[in-house]
Amino acid sequence: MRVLIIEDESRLAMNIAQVLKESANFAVDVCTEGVDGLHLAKTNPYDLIILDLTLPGMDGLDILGKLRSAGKTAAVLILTARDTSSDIITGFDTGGDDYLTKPFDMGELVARCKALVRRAYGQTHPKVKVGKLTIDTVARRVKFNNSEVRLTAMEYRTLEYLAMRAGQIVSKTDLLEHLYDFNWERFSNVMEVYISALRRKLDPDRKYDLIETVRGQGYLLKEN
Amino acid sequence: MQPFSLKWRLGICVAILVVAIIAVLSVTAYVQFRETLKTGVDSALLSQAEAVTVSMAADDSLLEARKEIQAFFGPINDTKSPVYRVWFEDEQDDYVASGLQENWPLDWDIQSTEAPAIGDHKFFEASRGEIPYRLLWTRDPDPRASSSTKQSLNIIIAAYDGHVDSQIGDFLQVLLIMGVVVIMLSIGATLLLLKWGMKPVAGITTKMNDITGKNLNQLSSYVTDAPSELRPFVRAWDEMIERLALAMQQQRRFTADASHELRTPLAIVKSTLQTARSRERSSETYESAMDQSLEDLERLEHLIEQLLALAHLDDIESQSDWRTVNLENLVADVCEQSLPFAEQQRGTLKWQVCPAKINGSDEQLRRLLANLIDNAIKYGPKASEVSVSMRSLNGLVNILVHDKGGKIPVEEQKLIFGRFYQIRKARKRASSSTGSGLGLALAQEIAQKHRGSITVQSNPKNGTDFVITLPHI
Repeated sequence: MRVLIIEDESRLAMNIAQVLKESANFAVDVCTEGVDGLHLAKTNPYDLIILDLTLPGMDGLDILGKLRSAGKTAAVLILTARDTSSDIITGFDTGGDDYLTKPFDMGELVARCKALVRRAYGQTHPKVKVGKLTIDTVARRVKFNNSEVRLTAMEYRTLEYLAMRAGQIVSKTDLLEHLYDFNWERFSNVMEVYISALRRKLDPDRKYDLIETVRGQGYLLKEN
Repeated sequence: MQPFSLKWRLGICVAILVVAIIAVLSVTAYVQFRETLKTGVDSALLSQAEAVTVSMAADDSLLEARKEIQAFFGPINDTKSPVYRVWFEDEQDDYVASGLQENWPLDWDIQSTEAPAIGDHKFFEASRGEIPYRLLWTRDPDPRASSSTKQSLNIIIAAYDGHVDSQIGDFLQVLLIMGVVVIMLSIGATLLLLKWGMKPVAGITTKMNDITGKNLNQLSSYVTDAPSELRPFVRAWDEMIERLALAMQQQRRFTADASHELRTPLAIVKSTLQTARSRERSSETYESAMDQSLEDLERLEHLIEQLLALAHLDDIESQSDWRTVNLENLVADVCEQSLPFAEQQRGTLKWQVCPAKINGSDEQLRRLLANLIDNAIKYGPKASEVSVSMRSLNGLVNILVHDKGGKIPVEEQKLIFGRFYQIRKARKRASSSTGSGLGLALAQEIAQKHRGSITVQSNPKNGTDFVITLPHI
């Protein structure tokens, strides 16, 4: 899952980014300026955008409005010091999905972010089940055939994304764009390494063809 | 006592006016009416006397004349019938004709009345018992052609006079009833008129009730049909609303800015500490989180201090600590205290003072000067000189704070004194700000409170000058 934070107080943004990486295993980009933020949000397929309203360059609400009229569907959590109900209403009416006022609790922010991402992929239960596979998105634990599987952060991130889009063919580009922030160097063969590691760890005996490779198109996590 | 309402005031005024008009009309009418009635009686009496004289002149025989006169007046039926007496001067006892059998005029009070001159006549009032009479007494030369004597012919005719007074009485009674009715009607009409006239006022009042702090609308936007008398009122009200709306807008913006500025450092501190605590970390990470938090808390502390100073300045009681302040010592003191900060920035601070005393708050004046010097050190070029100089002239004292900068554009020179201006500007420019955004606003408000001002001049050639002008004692 990939998140963009548009927040002019860079220290605050960095703290949020760190916590989201550590406790939600998200890929996080940070931008401290409005115009650049809008550009990033338009050109990358973020799953969630955390948006401050009082920004240099361009107001947060303008960014939100422009994003929505450009047809961008990423979930937007507004994080601001403006706390009157009219501000909150305007935030939602402009296209925000959630609203949190500063100062806020980090734990709450992370929980809201997870819920928003879950919702964006049509999931309501914090435990995502695909066939014999269960992913606890809160504790970040994976079970297959009722036995726990230990995964690295990137392996978990890959599997979570595939599980969210279970039954659909996910292209390599899609995976790269949703799992890496823009500071990473993207080599497409890195994906193949993770996928084969996942196959090995989940299904060492190769009894199930859990993650299918669709030639020339991408990967498919089967629902049964 | 509560003042009378407008309608009763006007009602009473109208009633008094109506009473006065009716009184004047009544008196005039009474006099005129009475005069007319009296004149009518008098002319009747005169024509009767004329008739008697004519019959006397025509008939030589007194007996014939007497018969004719008696026929003329007719029999005396009641007290209201005319009473008369005709006689010659020297025949006092023997009258020619009389309307009464009894001894006329003994029971009439005529004796005291002086007889008119010959050829003349006079009117007078007399009464018989309770009955009022109007009397005519003519005294003419003997009209008989045959008569050679020069004795005069006296005629007294008395006409019943009571009907004049009774008619006037009736008239006055009608007048009185009419007057009362007219007064009642006029008061009622006044109340109704006033109610009708005040209708727009009631309408405007209803509209005014809709105006609240959240809904500061112009009255004229919904009162389009105000009568011309009320238009100045609506205009004045709108101007007041405009001023209020501006003040409220400024207040709202200030509150929003202040809450943003207070919440942001708080959010940073909280997030820093929570991030550090979220899992096991190295002691260096904890240390850096604490250092950063302390730094943020200092920024917050400074902001809160400035906000409280502003709030205190708005306080009505804020002049309680005013006394005579020795400005010379104060300026030297503040400069000395700011010197370490200047040296920390690898710059210098020089000052020159002159004697001056002003009336004001020592604490506030210190804050004013310290804010300006701090700004000069902070925003002037690094490692350069800031100078403070002082001059007393024409009852005013000028304190000039100079730095070698000069980057404040002319169009911004007035705006920098607005509360949180710097921060709004920083937001636009994406540069991080270190100040509270309140320093200059506070400085200007302190100067204004002391009946003074602050001006700024800034250009790259001469640097930046902030000049405080204050009235001295």
